[in-house]
Order: sequence, then C-alpha cells, then structure tokens
Amino acid sequence: MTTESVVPEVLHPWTIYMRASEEARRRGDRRIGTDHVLLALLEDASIELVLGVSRQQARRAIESLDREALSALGIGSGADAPPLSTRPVPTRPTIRAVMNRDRLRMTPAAKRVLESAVKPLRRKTQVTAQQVLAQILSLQSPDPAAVLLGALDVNTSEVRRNVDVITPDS
Amino acid sequence: MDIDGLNETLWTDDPAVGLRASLALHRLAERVEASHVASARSRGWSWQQIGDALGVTRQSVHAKYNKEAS
Repeated sequence: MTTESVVPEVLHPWTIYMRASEEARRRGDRRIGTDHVLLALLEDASIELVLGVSRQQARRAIESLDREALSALGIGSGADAPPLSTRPVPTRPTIRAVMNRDRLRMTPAAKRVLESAVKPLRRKTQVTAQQVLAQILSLQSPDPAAVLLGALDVNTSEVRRNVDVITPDS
Repeated sequence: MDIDGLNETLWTDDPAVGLRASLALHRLAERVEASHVASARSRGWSWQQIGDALGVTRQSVHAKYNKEAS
C-alpha cells in the first residue's frame, strides 16, 4: 500500500472543531453534528484517499439526503436556497480565534467522537484526522455521519482496517 | 407549492426519513433567511428594518449576518 505518500497531518482538535463549525454554518445548521465533523476531516487529502470520496462528493450527498427527506414531506426541489458562505479556518487557531467566532454547539455524538479520539493520546492538543475518523467509522445509522457514509457507499469495516494501518498509536 | 397537498403528505412512516426531514426544514429556513437578509441589505434595508421583519433586535441580526457581508 502507498500509505507513505500521505503523511497524516497533525491537527489541533480546535481546528477540526472550527472546520466542522463552518460546515454546519454553511449548511444552515445551529449545531455541529458528526456529519459536519466528517466533512471537516475530508479537508485532509489522506482522508479523501482512505474513504475514496472527495469533500465535494460528500457535500453533494448530504444535500441530496436533505432533498430526499424534504420530498418525502411533499416539499419539492423548488424550495431550495443556496448554502451559506464559509470563512477560512486557521491551521493553528489561537484561543482568541476560537472565542471570537460565533460558536455553534456540538451534538452529544459529535462531542463524543472528538473526546474519544483525543482521550488515549498523550498530547491532547495533537490529533490526526485518521484518529477522529476511526471514531466516526464505528457509528451506526441513524447517526448522521453513518447515514452519510452509507449514502456514499463507503464500506466502513474495510476502511476501518486501513485506518488502523495508517494510524500510528502514540 | 400546494398547501392542501402538503397537509396530506406531511407524513412519512419512516421515522429515519421524517426526523431527517425535520432537520432539513430547519436548515432550509436558515438558508432562506440568510439569502433574503443578504438581498434586503443589497436593496438598502437597514439592520433595524430587517430585525423588525424577523421579529428580533437590530443587534441580533447584525451580529449574526454582518460578518458575512465582508
């Protein structure tokens, strides 16, 4: 396998939180769900590689899931509005950068994903997208991230094995 | 949109779809609000007028949307 070519980027959990927050805001959500955390992770090229989907594909899939659900209520595609614009997220956000933004709350599941990814680490301020992804992969439908992965035809058990290979246990 | 039709079909027997649809409605409402606030601003509405239309204070619409204007 060509895992050497993609070095997992070490991120601050705040970076993931802020990226996920932008994804939630873009979509018009008031809460950061596991699906937004997943979209945030897809900013990392190594995650696109391991899942075999791009962030654009994932965003489109999430949109069509919403449209599907709305049409089940009889609300047609005429009722559509563009996503909100996103703002850039610093790679190493300072506490001030986090505090100055409008802070969306995380859903309990999203919180659990980030917390359990960070928990076993010696440095709680350094996490890789793979370590967070490993938590997301164990979620089950109707969790929104699990539903999204299902809609993208991602084989989660197969990906989980690959992620274990890449993730160096620190 | 046909309102009578909406009442009849505002039901799906799959809770997974129904609950997702409820969230999707919230998102749609946020997006509709955001795009119309932007269009009101571009037509010269004041934050006060937008706040009145939405039933919130001038400060709260301003705080929510002003960052996006830049």
